[in-house]
Amino acid sequence: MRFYGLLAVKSLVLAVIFVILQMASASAQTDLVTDTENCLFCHRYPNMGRYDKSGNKRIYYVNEKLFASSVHGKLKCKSCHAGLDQIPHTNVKKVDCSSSCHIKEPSTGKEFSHANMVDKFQASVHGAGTGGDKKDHPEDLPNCKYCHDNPMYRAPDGVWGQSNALINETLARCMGCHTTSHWAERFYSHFTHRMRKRRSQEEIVALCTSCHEDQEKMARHGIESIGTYKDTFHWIQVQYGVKDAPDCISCHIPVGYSAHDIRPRTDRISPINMDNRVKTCSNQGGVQSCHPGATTQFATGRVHAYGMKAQLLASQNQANFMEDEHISLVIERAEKDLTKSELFHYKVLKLVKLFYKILIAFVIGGMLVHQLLDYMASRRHLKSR
Amino acid sequence: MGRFGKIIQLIKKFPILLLKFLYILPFLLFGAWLLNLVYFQPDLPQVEAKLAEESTLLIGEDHVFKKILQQKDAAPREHFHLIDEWVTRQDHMAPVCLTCHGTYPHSKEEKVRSILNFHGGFLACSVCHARKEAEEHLIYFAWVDRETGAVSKQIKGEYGKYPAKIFPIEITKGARTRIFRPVNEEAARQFLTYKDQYTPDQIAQAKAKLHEHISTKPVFCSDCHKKEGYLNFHDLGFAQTRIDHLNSTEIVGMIEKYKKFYLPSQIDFGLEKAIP
Repeated sequence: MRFYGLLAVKSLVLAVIFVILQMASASAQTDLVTDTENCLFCHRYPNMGRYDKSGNKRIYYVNEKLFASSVHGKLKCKSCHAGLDQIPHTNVKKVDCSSSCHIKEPSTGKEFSHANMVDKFQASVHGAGTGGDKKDHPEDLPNCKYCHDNPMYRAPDGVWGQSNALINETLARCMGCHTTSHWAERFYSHFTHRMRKRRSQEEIVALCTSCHEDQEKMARHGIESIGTYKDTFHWIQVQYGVKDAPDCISCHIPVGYSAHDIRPRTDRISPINMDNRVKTCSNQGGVQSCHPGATTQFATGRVHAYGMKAQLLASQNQANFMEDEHISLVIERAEKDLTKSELFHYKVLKLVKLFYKILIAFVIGGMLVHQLLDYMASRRHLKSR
Repeated sequence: MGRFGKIIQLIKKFPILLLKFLYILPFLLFGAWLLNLVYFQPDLPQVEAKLAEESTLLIGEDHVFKKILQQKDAAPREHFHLIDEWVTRQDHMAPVCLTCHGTYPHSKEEKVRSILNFHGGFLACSVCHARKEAEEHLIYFAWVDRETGAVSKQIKGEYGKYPAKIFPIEITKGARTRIFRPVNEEAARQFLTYKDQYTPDQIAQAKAKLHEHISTKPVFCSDCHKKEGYLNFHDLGFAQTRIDHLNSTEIVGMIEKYKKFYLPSQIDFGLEKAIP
């Protein structure tokens, strides 16, 4: 009897909770996003957020319209924020992009996951390493969110966005079978979203340089900062807004390569490995063929200017810097990366630079002396008249 | 010609000398720039010395706030969800309190800090932190436009995205009205300007004085979110359906009745099903 009484009370409590949540859903629910957990009940307010213990600004606001138009707009919050089941959300776990998110991947019918990309990324130059081969200073390495926000589907451009008529005609064909217009439009956006670069060249350079210009961070990993790119003709073109001017991706992730699988140039599959340079410079097979007639001689030339590594190796007093752990790591890498001929070229360039320094000093100095003497002669001449 | 005459002659020549100087100035500047470019660009020792110096400084306490000071964007780099102008918009009528306490002033109560912070988007601090005392001030609440400062009882926008903020309005003698400000804003600004000149004791005294009208027990969730609560939602222009929602016990109950509110995973509203 007591058992049935308890059961009845428990059922009543559950029913009340269910009704309360349904009421909340009814009052705040939106048709834009699949928010059956009613997270937007709180998270739709723009000022929702706080500063965490480390002083980081945590914004908990989610704009439902922007989210609904994003590539993740069909997912429920819990699909990524897994295990979140209490308020306050003290048990919240970090989002794991390699987890399955309950969307069926249509080609396999399995639950969708970014695990494939995450695995590749961990093994790449930007990843923390795999197995026992872990990198030092993992705090310096980018995570998924460092490069990716939640991108929105945008109106297509390029061939597929030449006119609204083309989009309408294509969509009309799709909707012959796929009768739900919302689904068809979303699938169309999903497809055309991949048909162009999402970021401009300046944005790509800004993203890469946000880490690679940090001398101190780069030195910790034995690499030099990327200031050398900004000495190149490629960067000048980007600055002048030349369409299709090459940014970091153009050479480091050309056609057939993935941004999640960037390898060091010593790796044979790297696009900047000497064996692959001709293919990379010509970029055959892509929409844009940069240097279609690239020869081995052309492709194996130096793209980035000589930087700190060459300076350190050529320096007579490098021993002074060897005490610094980070600098010695850079020198160690420099000895591997720079060939003797490259070092010879660098020294020749330095001599040429020195020659011009002296020449310019003589030319400008001579001009000044000449002008001064001429001025004095003029004054003397005027006085004598 | 005397000394006076020479001076006059020099003054007469001055415009020509000035013209000559202006003519030669670009050449001098170009020469200086060229010399700097050729001879004073950092070479190896300078680059490395700078690098070593930066490494040392980064370890020191001088750069504890480096990341915070460098943060200029509205959202941190690793923020995933897209934000809109409501996060970045300038609030011209922002209470002076936010100058010190920031956009997210609540941090202590783990259970409600973020929820309280979102209220800061549409409520002036003084609404909750300076409880109206009937015997001292005759106060009502109204919307104050963020741009113009116009007082209104009409509501525009929805769900925290209002072009106005709720402020306490004080009815003064002669039936005139003004925004009730428990902190003397002019004094607060003076304090911020000159606080470096104060001793720690003076700063503490000034802070106490500035906050003298702040209630020790601020208005809490259950004070408002109930029928006939602290705020009259009807007078603030809310629709009846929204008032019913605001007066319901969902959030208050969640915060006050439960130490932790568990979202029932047993009835997970179809999460396990794939979304078409």
